[in-house]
Amino acid sequence: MSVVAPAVVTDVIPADAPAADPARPRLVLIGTALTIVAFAMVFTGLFATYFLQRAEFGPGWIPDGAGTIPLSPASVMLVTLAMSAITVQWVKWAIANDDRLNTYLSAGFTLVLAVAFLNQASFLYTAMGWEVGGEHAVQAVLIYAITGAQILMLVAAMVFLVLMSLRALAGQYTARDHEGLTAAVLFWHAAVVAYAVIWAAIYNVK
Amino acid sequence: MITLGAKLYFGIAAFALVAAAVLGFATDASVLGILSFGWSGPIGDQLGYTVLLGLALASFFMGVVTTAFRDADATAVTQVAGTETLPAPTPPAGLSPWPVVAAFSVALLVIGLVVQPLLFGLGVLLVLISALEWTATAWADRATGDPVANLAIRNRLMVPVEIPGAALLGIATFVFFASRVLLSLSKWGSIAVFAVAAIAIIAVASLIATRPATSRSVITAVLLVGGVSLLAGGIVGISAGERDFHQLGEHGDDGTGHADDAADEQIETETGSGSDNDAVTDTTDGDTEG
Amino acid sequence: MAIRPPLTSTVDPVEAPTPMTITETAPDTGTTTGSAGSPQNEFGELGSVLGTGDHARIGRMFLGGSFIGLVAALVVGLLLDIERSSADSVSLLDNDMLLQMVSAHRMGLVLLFALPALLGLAFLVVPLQVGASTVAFGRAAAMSLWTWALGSALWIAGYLVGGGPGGSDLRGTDLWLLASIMVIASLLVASACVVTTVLGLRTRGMTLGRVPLFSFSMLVAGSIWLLTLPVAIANLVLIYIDHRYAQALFGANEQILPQLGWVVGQPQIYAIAIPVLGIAGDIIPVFAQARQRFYGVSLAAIGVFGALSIGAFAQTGMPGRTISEGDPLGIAGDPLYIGMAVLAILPVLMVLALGADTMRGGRLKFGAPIAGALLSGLVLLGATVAGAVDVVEPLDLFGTTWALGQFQLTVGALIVGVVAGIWFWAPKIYGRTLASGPGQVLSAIVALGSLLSGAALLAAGALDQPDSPAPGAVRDGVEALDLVAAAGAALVLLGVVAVIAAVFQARNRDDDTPDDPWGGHTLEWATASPPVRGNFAEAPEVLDERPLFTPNAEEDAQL
Repeated sequence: MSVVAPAVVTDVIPADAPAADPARPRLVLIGTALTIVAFAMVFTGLFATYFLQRAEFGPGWIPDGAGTIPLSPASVMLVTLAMSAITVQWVKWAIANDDRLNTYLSAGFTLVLAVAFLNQASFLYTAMGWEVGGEHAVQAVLIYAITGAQILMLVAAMVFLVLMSLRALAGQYTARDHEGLTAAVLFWHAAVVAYAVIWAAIYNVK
Repeated sequence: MITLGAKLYFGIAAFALVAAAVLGFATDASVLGILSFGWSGPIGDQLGYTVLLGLALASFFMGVVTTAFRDADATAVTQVAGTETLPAPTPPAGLSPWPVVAAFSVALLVIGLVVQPLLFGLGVLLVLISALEWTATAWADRATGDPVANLAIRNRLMVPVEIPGAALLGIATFVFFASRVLLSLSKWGSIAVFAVAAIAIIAVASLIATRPATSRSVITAVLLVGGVSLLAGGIVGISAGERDFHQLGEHGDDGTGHADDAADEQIETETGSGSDNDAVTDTTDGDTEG
Repeated sequence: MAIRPPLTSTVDPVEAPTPMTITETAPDTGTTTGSAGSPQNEFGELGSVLGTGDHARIGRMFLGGSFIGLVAALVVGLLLDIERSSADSVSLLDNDMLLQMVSAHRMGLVLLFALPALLGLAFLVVPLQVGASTVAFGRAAAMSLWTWALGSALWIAGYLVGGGPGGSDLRGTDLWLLASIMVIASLLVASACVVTTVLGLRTRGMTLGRVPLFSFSMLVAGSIWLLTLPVAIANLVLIYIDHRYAQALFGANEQILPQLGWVVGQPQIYAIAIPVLGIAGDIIPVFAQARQRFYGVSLAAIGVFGALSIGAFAQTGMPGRTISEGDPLGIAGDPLYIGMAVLAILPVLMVLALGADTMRGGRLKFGAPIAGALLSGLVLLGATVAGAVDVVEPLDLFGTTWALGQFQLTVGALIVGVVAGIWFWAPKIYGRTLASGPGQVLSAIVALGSLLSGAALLAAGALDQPDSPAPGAVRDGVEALDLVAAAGAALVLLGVVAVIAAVFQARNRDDDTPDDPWGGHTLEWATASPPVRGNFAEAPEVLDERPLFTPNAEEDAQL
């Protein structure tokens, strides 16, 4: 399925202007990969402290019963992000086929799912009801730091995707050259993986 | 084929893995724990092992990237680009204020986290604006092969948004920071500071108006100094907090919505008018005096 | 035999160069320079500075800013040395301030000098060495510069209000913690730009195995920074949240510096010294006028040194972490820690041995760059030897000034290395050659100061002088050594100030600068001094790792 690209701002480009030189491939992807590495190491540093403190604390790190972290909302969040991983891959597939309509549509779906995830995160925080300076201060510091970092990463991924989609909307990316969008998709996947690790190591294992 | 870049990153990953195992064994890990990454047994020092394992994974990822891109060698890149010549990145065609604005926004965000949530919000807003503007510029830079046309395209698209946006933000920023300065100073202090500021603005503006040859750098520097002074003053004002406001109560209200001057003076005397932080306000109508 | 690209250019300052096949015919004249070719704007020179995306300008500003940070950190270090050597618990500074000065000195040298200086040098030199027209993500590089500058200002402000580690102002501590995150993050952005340039912007024929050693060392160093310093950000994020809302994990303030100590201790401290090997490796063959043999071994040695500088696991101050019983620092008896400290000598020795082999096989000419390169290599070797001795358990050196001495030696090696790099690449950085005589003297002064300061602290550490600035912590009988350390620190400070003066003096001189004053071997010497906008008139193509090397390099030199 291929749809002709809707002209959004391309009418401001003079028809007689020379075409731009082709962009140097791989640059944006390498830069994004390095950014992902840096984020991964931030999470590594946070998790390292988390695992150490959890091991030092012993049983009951996250209490059972009242005051526990409910698994169901966290699992729903995981499913939501897993779905967004599919829709964001759809963005990449669509632009690789010069299918702009599907590119915009899938980017929109992805962002909606991300907003839903943020809403669910807010719900989970409320359901936990932990205060940083409260009864489980050490656990709260660590869990809020780790989950907050992932939320920050996801928000960064959302901004990245929006900005690259705007460039696509302005007619920039094509089937041959769509590195900006591919980079945004890669970063998105990294944010999803980060949450999957959080789900496994914090919410599920406890 | 494993490229040199991949060898570097895979090498670091391998080193980190071995290091994690050595650290683990030295700190009472079990073989099964080390091999299963802690799933089926102890790994010893949790912190060190996790850091080294995470580093190994991150470096392995970069190894995969460099392998997939064949070290981004010119030959490989040319093939990907589908061109005969090696695509060269063009140096940024013009000047852009957005990197420095973005940096400034991050600084504002940091200061806001420490002293005032509103500043934090302003910082976030400015970061988002910078990102949007940056993207528009990056897009326009590659719109055509002509830098002049690109600049015109960018301006045509963004200037209608930028000018009113900047005006709104500028006014809001001025009002916010100036009000922080006013609220932190004493009654007479605020009058004095803003009288001096007003005179200084008029004097500098007059001087610039009478000297058309004044270079743009000087004007830019003057504006920057003024802006930074206002921001710094506002931040200091926020840090210092608002001065003490004393409730006048009913007797201070003359029914016209204005505080009674005599009551003002009286209360100011009673609370020690010598104090810089003392001032009088009538909260019944929201007016703030001093 | 590699083909030599044109030496000068007539390229239009506002147009990017068109990639072309290389020719041996050089245009007669060069008309544009990096600064002259920079885009002009309606806000004048100040606007050009603030809005620039030009890698050379960004590099110069990073380098200049880093030397301001260096002087500030050295002054603080000197005050600490004087304080340590003052007799009978007479304190010039209060305890609160002393504790803060410890972190200001050590972290300041790393965050305000070492990393930005190397990144500045990399922004200037790496694109030229790999044959690129610019640095990758020029505007992101500009953002990293300004974020670093503003972050550094806030970082210093944190100290000024008494919020540094050990200080008593809690709000100031919050500011210090966030500013530290800001500074490290900005340096990581700059590192990503440099690493991407080496990985993704190499010219035709320049495989990664042919990249000049400084650029390769920056690839390794940048990668190691990206792999380790985010862990410091993670530490700072946790400390900030804990400090602000709970104070349950790290306490009020006392645990901050011990927790971050790994950033300025071995093995992580070697991460700032990786490019020293690259600088020496690029300078020595040029002055030996010989092709370096076993180039791949040099690359491998730099890579191995990078791996051995991974220190994020050595977080000795983490609450609840005990690795071996009876070891208060938690890491001293760990075989990984000991092994890395001992092995770190080997790659340094390897690079120096290869340099010696190159010098033996060539005709050595002397100059400030080679003096600085050799001295920096030797001081770094001293630092790694000191690091290896540090982990010999029976000597029981943990907690003494031995580690501080080793830190001083490592930073000293870096300062001398950066000075050597500035003297070597000055034609490309400033469009001027710097006087050789003062360069040799200043390199020697800084190296001597570092050795004096480092050796005195090592000796004091061997005599059980504790690494504490607190009044009364001085062990009897080592006052003379502390005085020598202070004298060494003063010498380093003096040398650095003189270096700054020499650079300023040369920049104000108006003379013709040859494109290649040394008979250089790598691509940066194939373009004008200072480089044309876009760096090369035509995209060069290389066939080996020393594209400009000829056996008659002396005749090629244009001095």
